[in-house]
Amino acid sequence: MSRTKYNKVFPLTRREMLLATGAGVAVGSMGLPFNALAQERLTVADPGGPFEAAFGEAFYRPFEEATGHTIANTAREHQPTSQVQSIVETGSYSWDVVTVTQADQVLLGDRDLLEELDWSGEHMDNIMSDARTDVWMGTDVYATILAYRTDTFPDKAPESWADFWDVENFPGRRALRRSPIDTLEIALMADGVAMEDLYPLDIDRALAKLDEIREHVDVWWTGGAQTSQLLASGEVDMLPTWNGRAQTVIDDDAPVGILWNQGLYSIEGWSIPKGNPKADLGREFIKFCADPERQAAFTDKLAYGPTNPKAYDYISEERAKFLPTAPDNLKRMTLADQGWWGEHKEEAESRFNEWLLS
Amino acid sequence: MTTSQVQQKLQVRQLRKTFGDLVALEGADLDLADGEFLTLLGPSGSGKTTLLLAIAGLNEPDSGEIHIDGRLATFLPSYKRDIGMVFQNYALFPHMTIFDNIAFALKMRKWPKDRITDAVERVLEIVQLPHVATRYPRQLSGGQQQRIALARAMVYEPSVILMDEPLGALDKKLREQLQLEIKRLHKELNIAVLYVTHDQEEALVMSDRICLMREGRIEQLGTPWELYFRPRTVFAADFLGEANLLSGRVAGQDNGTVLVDLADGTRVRGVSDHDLTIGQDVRMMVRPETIGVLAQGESAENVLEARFSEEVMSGSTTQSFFTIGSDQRLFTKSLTQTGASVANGESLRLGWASERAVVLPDE
Amino acid sequence: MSKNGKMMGSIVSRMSRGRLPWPLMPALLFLAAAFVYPVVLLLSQSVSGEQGGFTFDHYVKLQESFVVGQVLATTFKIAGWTAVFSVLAAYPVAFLLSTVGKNRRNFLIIWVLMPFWTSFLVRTFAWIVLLGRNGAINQFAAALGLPEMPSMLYNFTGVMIGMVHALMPLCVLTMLSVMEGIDQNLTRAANTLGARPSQAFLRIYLPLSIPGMAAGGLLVFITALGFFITPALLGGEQETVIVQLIIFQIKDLLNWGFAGAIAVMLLVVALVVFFFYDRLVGLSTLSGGAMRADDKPWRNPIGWGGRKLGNLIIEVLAFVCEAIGRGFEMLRPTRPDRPRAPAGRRVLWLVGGLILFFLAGPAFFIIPVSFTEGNFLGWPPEGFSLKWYDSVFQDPLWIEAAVRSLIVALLAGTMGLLLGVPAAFHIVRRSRHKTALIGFLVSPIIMPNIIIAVSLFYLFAGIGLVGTTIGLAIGHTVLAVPYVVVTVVAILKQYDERLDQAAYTLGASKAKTFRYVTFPLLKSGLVAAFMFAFVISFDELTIALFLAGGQMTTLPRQMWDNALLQVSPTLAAVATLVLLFMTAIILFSEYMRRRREGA
Repeated sequence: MSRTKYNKVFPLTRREMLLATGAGVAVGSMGLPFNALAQERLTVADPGGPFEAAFGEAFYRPFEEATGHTIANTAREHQPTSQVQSIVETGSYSWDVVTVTQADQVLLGDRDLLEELDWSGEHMDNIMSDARTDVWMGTDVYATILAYRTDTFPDKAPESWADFWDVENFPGRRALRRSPIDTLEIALMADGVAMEDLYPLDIDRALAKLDEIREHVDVWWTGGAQTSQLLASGEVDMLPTWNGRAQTVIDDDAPVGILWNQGLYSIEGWSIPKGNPKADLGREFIKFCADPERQAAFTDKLAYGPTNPKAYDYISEERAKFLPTAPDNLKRMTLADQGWWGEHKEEAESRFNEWLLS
Repeated sequence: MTTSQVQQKLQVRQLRKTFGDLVALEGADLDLADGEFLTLLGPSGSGKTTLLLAIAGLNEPDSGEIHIDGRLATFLPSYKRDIGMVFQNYALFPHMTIFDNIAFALKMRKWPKDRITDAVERVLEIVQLPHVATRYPRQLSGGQQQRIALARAMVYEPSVILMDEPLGALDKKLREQLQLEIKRLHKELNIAVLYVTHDQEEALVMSDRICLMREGRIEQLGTPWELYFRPRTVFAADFLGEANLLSGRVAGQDNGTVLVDLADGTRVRGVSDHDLTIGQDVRMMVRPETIGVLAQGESAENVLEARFSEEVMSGSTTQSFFTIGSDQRLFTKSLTQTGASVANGESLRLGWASERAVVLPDE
Repeated sequence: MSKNGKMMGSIVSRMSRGRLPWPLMPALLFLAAAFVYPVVLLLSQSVSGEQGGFTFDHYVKLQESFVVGQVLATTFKIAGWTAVFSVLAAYPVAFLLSTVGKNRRNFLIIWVLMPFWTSFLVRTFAWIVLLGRNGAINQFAAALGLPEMPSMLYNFTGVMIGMVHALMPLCVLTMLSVMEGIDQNLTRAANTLGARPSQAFLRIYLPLSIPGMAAGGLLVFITALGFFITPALLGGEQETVIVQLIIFQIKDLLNWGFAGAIAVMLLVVALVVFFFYDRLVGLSTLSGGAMRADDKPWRNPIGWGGRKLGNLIIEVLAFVCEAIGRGFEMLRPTRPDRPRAPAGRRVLWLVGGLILFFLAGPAFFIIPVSFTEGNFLGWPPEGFSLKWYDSVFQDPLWIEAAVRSLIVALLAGTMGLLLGVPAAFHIVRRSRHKTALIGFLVSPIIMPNIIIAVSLFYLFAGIGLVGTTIGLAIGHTVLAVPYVVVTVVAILKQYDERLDQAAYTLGASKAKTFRYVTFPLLKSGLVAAFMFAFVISFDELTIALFLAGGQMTTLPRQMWDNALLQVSPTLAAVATLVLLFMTAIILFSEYMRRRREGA
């Protein structure tokens, strides 16, 4: 609903947009600060769904008010890597700024498909170190956690991934993700590897551990929405999923709990496709999103953690319990190492699939 | 079962069939003797196809009985009746060769292979298409396909062959050619045929007897001669051939003939199979070719003054149109002759024999 | 007669004398520009090395990969069984539909089409809720005191249920258009010739309906090759399909070269399968699906063998049915004096009814769920609320998306017909390269959508078509053409061309002949073809994600977007609205038809 509103504020045809862009580049090259320019429109691709409303309130509308520019937001597909590559290679900038995961920014950054960001300024300095790279600023933190039905485990809730493997003491239906991502880490932690010693991952050991649980896995899930459904309907009793998906179910008063212990967190954030003529405006927008007050605002609607720790000054304690970067939660978790994954994703995927199919 | 029944190949008794509110067949009775060619004739919707399909076992009657070759078959499934059927669109199996089409019924009857081959070859000879056995139906012309359909229906020598407007899809020339062909086959093989058509000419040409149907009932059943010259109803008179139907009133009876006063006052006489009362409104049916123009001094049993209005020559015959009195129209048909034509409006005397004039109750 | 023959011959030769196969050209040119050119550009990456130059590295890697081979086998296994089950289940429904009156048939078709109108996402989640551990069916079974059923989800069974449900309508409509062309007098004729109903069916009707089965099976098979959401959501650990691997390479690794190599392999294997399939069932031959006796085994050994086998199967079945029929008759002799119970008809209605229920069931399940007060799709719905409808109508994006989807689907359907129908005519009647042409024309369905999507993005970016309705419609037309071609080829195969020739000899022009002779006879097939093209576009996500660019959204895209965290009853509400809208359109056109024909 918010999106259309933005469109209508400043409706542009493609032709007009090209003209405006051309003018922007021309004037910009004359050395004028872009603030002095006429209103511009920035197309921002976010994950859609609840992000649209949450980011709209936290970032888009305030940015428009503060700068006079227009934000047109659009939902990107779940993993927009190939689209970013297409956009850059064809020079057809249908997106100016896009959210990508930490893993995907490694992939895209390695191929020189993203613009460098401007890391100056107070708010930018405060961003947590995990959420900073040259070409990407993390905005929200999500975590892979163990979600379980509290009605199935009323007396003794699972407290570790080892408990997930303990089918005797925690009988119930289980699901695992049909992907090596997170699943390998989970298996290693269940096997006793400490969080800080996870990387480089020992794939053989992880698969050997997975062998133990394999026959007890009823569902191998493939998508986030699927996990909320599995939890909500009670189809399975415990499974690793992203905290946001579990939160949706908890918000619906379903008997579901989240175990933060041994969670793996990841970060999603803003990047600019390389060569974008509106890159400067994009950089300004991204800087705007580092503001802790702005970051705090999206946590109302999204159970994701802000990357500027100062944001917690503006977040109620009640809400903070459900956010991955709340200090109490964050200290029990570890960051998934995208450096390792960037280099070993194909191998891990191939080994995992081989294991799964044989 | 009486002996007379056994001689009949097909007997239909009080057959009734309704589709919802529509009465398609209302108590039909029919007999078909061995070697007889009987035609069901009538306009569309008259029930002739319903009757045929009931006999074929392709629809079930509501009540009544059907006997085929002396055996009760009212509700017997098609495949257990000893019949052969020829469909209007031939219904040859497009995915089978001509040989397989004809052999189909024999295979179903579990004939040994060599007997099947012999029978198919023989029947192909009979329909004069001995060389088409390996072809497919779509490779044959319409006329050829119809002959194959005929061959397929008679190869197993069923008690009765049913034909549902088999020539309906063919052009006129081919139609006439095949009419003669079917007639020849019928004579040669001496099989009982029940034939459906809406074409009265075809019915007259081919049939031993004609069963004229109308609105689910049998209007008249008889030889072509009977139906043509002694129709029992105005409908029958009108449906078969061309007829003059003069309106009049019964004036009396005389020596087996009926006296009728026409609208213009002329008294004429004709024959009738009905019980008529004096003063009853009737129609007098006179076939146009039985009416002659009387020369000076010539006389006939019935004579009428009529004004000539026009003449239409269609090859071998010529139709002449007349007006009697103020509004009755009448026409004659005669072989075309050369000679002086008659002037428009000229008054002539027309005459015909009483036994050719049939008096029918008005409808 | 011979004069007639000559006349037809001269017409035929006059029509085939032209050198250019002009009816084929629009479809060929269109696919060359909007499919072959961009896709080949992308796939060429599969043979180029990192520093440029030519390499077979990707293919070597492909051939060494255990996973790719395994997954490819799984993909073909799933697609193959989906096609088999779809054909088997669709047969009684299509048969039933072809034998009931027109009014009743058009009413039943609404049921058949139900799966088409419930978006793939909603449909799949409906099955999850219906078949789950605490799902509607298990609740029902528990209420009846039955033991818990073996799990029908997260295994091969689940995949089959979801896929057959989604794809069976393709089969029903394709078969129906062929079956409608089968003269009912043929079975009657067989009956009068002494064949029991079972014999008449097996020996006459079944062989004549093969073109419909062949085309329906082919459409389902190649469409199923591209399905990945259903196996992902309803399948178990073994049910990973090739498209998932391609997507992983494209998105997670940006390794388009290897993705291209997998896609090329998929296409090649699928075309080889198609070639054998065509030889076997004779989709591209003009024999009317018939088992021709005069075929020489060396001309087409597969087809010959297949027909021999088919004939053998029919003989065996016929023998068994005959024996059963006789046995039954011994127990209960046919009475000539009393009507028979229409037992066969009743069984057909029962079986057809059950399958129709299977097709329409999830749709009927979605309607009550859309009124739930809860935030999840679940059974039974909690309370009653209109809030989900409210949220749909409150958000202009839904309306915008629905309108755009409708426009794009109508455009794609229309363009698909305009391009596909002439091509199908040419293929069936004139072409000497039928197998190759059909193979080429169906390859857009085999090629994974994501490959087409990326390729078209590159093509369209250069000419300003990204983010335009027409660009999206062109993308969907690429997928629509194959469905139109296969469907129309199937009905044309048993259409008697002499009817056209008769019209020509009667002085009708080509246009008039098409308008008054050909079109009315092919109408149901053309309607089915349009329906497929429409639905393919209406339910397509991947190409829309790429080509819609910054702002545009379509219904599937909007639903996908909405389902980020959970599949909320909003989607059920949208699906219900679409269902009602489409059904209303069908009912309205049916009403108009009856009024027209009644007048």
